[in-house]
Amino acid sequence: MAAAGGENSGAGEGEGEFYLRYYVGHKGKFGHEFLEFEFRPDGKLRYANNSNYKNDTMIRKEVFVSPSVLREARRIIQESDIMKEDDSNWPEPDRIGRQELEIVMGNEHISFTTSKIGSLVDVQSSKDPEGLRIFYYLVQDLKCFVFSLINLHFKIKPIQS
Amino acid sequence: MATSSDGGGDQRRLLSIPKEGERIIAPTRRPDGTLRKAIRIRAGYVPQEEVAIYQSKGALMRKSGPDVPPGYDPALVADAKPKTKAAKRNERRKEKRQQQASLANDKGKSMNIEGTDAGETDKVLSSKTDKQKDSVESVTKQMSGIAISESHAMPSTNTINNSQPESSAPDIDKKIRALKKKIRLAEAQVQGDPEKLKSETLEKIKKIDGWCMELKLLEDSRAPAA
Repeated sequence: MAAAGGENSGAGEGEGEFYLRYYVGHKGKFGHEFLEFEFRPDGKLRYANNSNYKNDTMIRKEVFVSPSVLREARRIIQESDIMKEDDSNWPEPDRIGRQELEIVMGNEHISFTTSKIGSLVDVQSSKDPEGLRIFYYLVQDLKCFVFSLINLHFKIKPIQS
Repeated sequence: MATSSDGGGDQRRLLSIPKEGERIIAPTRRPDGTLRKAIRIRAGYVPQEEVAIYQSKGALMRKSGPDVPPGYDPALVADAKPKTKAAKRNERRKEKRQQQASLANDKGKSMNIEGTDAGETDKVLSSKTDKQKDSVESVTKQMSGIAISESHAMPSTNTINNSQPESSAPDIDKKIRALKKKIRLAEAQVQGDPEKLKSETLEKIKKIDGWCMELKLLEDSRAPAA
């Protein structure tokens, strides 16, 4: 549910605490498999990916990001207007899987829980297609953002020549 | 700070003046009553949710109207053509066929005759079963015969075993005869021409002793075989 509070107009854009956590996973044939990442207020980005398919093992990575990166993450969330949405009409987590999105930005705090989204057809056929579509596209953007940061920092040759 | 605010202003101006080909979707209302942002769609881009869901030809055909054979034209069917000479002939043929159908009633009597044939087939089947019984009895006899033949096989193997030692005896006899012949010839040469073939005779004299030894060994080995 969204607990909306008034923003501090006195403070600038960079002020206020920032926390973001996203989780998508399921429990099934190969155990508990999930993808999870979070931005901490101190600038630490934590990434975890667990899969037991074909004997894969847990991947855990941590990296500190600069204030400019945090600013970009804030901008992505601000422009999506996700803080004003409500997940009461979104599909509940089911056997197929579960998604969680938790954001703390300034005085606002939201925590969404829904089932996995297979495609936009699932979005259109839900009770709140407009709100779920915002969530769908925001998650895409955040995944691209986090994957780019992890690759740039950990790969030996992240930029192919 | 100042630079970021300027950037925001530029973005707003761009959004307010849509470019050629751009589309703006009206904002939707949230459950709590507030309006969402208007969505600006770039020229030439089709959002995913607006892409029509693909339907195969089969699905389209099903939706379009009743089941009618391809090329069907209701106008042609409506026009009733006058009967031609050929149609009249066909009608006459149909009448003849009906007469033949009445003849089929007579064929129904022949069906009764076929019923009697069915009885005969039953008799044939009974005879077949008798033949099967006879074949079964013959098979049982053959089985007993097979057992007898197996018993015969045993002594034949024994005879084979007996023949094996006999084959070795004639070989020994042949060797003995060959050695005796050699000895006789050598002795004859020695007696006949002692002066001419001195070297050869000396060699043969040595060999004669060896041949005699072999003869004794062969005769000794022959004794237990006999």
